Amino acid sequence: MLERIARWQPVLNAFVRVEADEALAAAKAADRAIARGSAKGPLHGVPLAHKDMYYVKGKVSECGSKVRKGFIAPATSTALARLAAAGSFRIGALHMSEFAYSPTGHNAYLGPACNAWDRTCITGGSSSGSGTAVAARLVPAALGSDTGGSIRLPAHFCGVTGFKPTNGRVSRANALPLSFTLDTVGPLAVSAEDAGLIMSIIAGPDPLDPTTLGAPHWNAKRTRSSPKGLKIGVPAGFYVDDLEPDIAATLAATIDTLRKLGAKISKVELPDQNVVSAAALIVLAVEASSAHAPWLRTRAADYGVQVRNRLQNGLAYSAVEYLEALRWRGPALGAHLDAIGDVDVIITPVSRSVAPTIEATDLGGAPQAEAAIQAITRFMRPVNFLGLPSLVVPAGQSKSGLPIGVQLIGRPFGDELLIALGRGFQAETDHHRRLPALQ
Amino acid sequence: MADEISSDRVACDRVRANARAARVPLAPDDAGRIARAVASVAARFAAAEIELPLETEPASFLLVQRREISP
Repeated sequence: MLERIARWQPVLNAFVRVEADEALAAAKAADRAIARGSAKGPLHGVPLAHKDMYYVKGKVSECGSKVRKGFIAPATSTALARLAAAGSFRIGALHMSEFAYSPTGHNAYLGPACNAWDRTCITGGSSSGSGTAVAARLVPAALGSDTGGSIRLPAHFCGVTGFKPTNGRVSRANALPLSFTLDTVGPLAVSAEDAGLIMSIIAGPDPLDPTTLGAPHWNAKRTRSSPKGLKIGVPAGFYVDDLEPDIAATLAATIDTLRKLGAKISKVELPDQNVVSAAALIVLAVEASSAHAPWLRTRAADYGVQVRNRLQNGLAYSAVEYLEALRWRGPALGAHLDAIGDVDVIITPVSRSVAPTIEATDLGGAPQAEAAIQAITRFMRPVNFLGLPSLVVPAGQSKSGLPIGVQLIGRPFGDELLIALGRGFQAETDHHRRLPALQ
Repeated sequence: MADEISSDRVACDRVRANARAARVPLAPDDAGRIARAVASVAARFAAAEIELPLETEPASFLLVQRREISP
């Protein structure tokens, strides 16, 4: 694995640090433990790497930024502590968008991560390294984070499985915050089964993150249930207008496959997603600006121009606008649940297109940058605002050979059902097993 | 209609005032750029004319979300 990383890191820029000596020592210790018959848990001896925003006490975590250059984490994130307790060890840290605030994978400080399927294309972000490292099989799985699509977009663009859990399902303690209302922690992996295994380890209440208290424990048995009889809703309008033909064809083919698996397909009419999306943008912008205000006052020049611009955008909203959006979140979720009735899962595209090129999306501080970002994240934001779980599974390829994912959106705390549906879909298809021809 | 709302809702003066209140310095051109970037979002949300009951607070979200927890 280290050899593979050494071979492809110069091409993909997936890692920000490779900790080869420590990883080798950990692997040998894991071998010795197995020889003694004392394996630690279901991930014993599994090397993983994660987005460079999950703190490990005493280790550098720069969060894709110049501002945090050399930052030594004071404590270990709950998610990483749980993965370590299950036997995994860390092989390094992965590339990410600056402060997790870009959906493309560009980074003014680190340079862009490159897509394993075509190095001239974006990985998606902000979990850029997680997406391309799993796609290239440099690691079997990696944590990302999702505030506005940051797990699901790289999963789609890089052809891997990505899971954004229900808000409150996984502790965010000692991970970089972007928006305390919308942030979630979840895995990118080769398969839904692997994503479910990671979730079974990292999910669950944590006193260090009060949003997890009262949420249900992970039910692994439910992840193995049959998709037969599941009710799947297909929305119109917002989610299907102006799709590239390959995206539309993949969505239709996936619906056919799910129908053959015994799912019941019906149309659903969702509340105005443009308004839900606007509320998400307001909450995200204001909370991110608030979190970064001290550095915007003193170190603004140390941000990349696009991220600085976006952080400054949050200054424009009034307190009343922000709080109206935040207070509306419960009623908006209620309206969503009323609209879908007894539907278990909604299926949508992830993006209108396959991965665009790095060059075409390298907009920096250009006037059209914000609109371009909003276009890329169009199908992502309602899920974040409503706190819903969402699984992205590879489901096809474009004529140009780039991967296409579909998004399966569940009900609150319907996480396990999504994993079950993904497992069922991946038992019938091989899109998730396809490998990029790395060149 | 949307254009009227957007031009009214996020003016450069408002951006400058908010930034001053937040003690975040802006370059001369920033206020215009920020207003243009957020105007359509603010307009979209305002146009929905959402009326919330007086008692609704951010934590009301949890009440709706956790109704879905199955036994």
